[in-house]
Amino acid sequence: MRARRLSYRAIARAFAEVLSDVPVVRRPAALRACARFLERRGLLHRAPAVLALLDEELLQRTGRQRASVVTAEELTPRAGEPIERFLRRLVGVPVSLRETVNAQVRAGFQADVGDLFVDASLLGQLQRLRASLRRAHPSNVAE
Amino acid sequence: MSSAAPGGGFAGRFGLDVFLLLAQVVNFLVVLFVLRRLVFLPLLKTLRHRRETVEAGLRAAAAAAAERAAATAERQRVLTDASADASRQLRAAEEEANLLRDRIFRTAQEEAEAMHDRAEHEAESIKTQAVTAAAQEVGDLAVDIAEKVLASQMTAAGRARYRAAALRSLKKERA
Repeated sequence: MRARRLSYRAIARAFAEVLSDVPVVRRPAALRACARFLERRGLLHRAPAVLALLDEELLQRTGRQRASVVTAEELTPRAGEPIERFLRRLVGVPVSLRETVNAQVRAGFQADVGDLFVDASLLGQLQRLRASLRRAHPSNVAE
Repeated sequence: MSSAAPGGGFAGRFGLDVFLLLAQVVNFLVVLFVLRRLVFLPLLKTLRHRRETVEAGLRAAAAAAAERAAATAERQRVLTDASADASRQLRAAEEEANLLRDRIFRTAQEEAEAMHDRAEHEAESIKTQAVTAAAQEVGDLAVDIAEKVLASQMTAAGRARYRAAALRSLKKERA
């Protein structure tokens, strides 16, 4: 059967099988082999979609949940660890962080995990303060 | 009397001339008749007519007086009635005018109060809107300033401290 006829999800499952079989130290080499496979099959331009599916597959296999975290600056592993721990306690299962940097957040973080959204950012705090001031009754403000 | 009958008798004894006496009686009767016919009766008629005229005049005068008195009394009654009626109408008109005045005054007062209330309400509404708008603008301005200050002064260490504090706060909320 030719790989071109395989669905992206099937390819992702195959990559997941490969990656779970190899030791951790050999995983970079295995990933490069996967990339070469995609290149040979002319599917390198579809690598993001395949990798997203691979990510889902690996999370499913490890029983983890994806948490999208937005921060003002890139998190160091040490800085990300407390966030990951907090989110794990929050949802009850291990989580894998997917970080995105957005300077508008100013400080703190915003996390999206499953159906939950946690806003512990300075941007959110300022937005809540602005909304609170807008909702404030004039009689409380006028005095 | 030379004309007395020379014979005896009663007339002769007293010198009476019977013919002369008869002539005188006839004359007297003729004169009496003529006077009665020509003087007394017309005079009596005239007097009677005058008396009747006077009596009629007196009766007419009395009737006129009575009529005048009645007319005067009627006029007085009419005047009294008219005066009473006029007074009554005047009082009624006054009462109606008072009622109308009171009603107009009350209506005007109510309208004035309603206008005053509306104006107060409107002024209060405008004031509230202005205060709300001002408060919102001030709030937005304060938040914008805070955002700009924090953006310019926030360091990596500050961000780390903020992150740690946010996590502590979240944990406290969960607990």
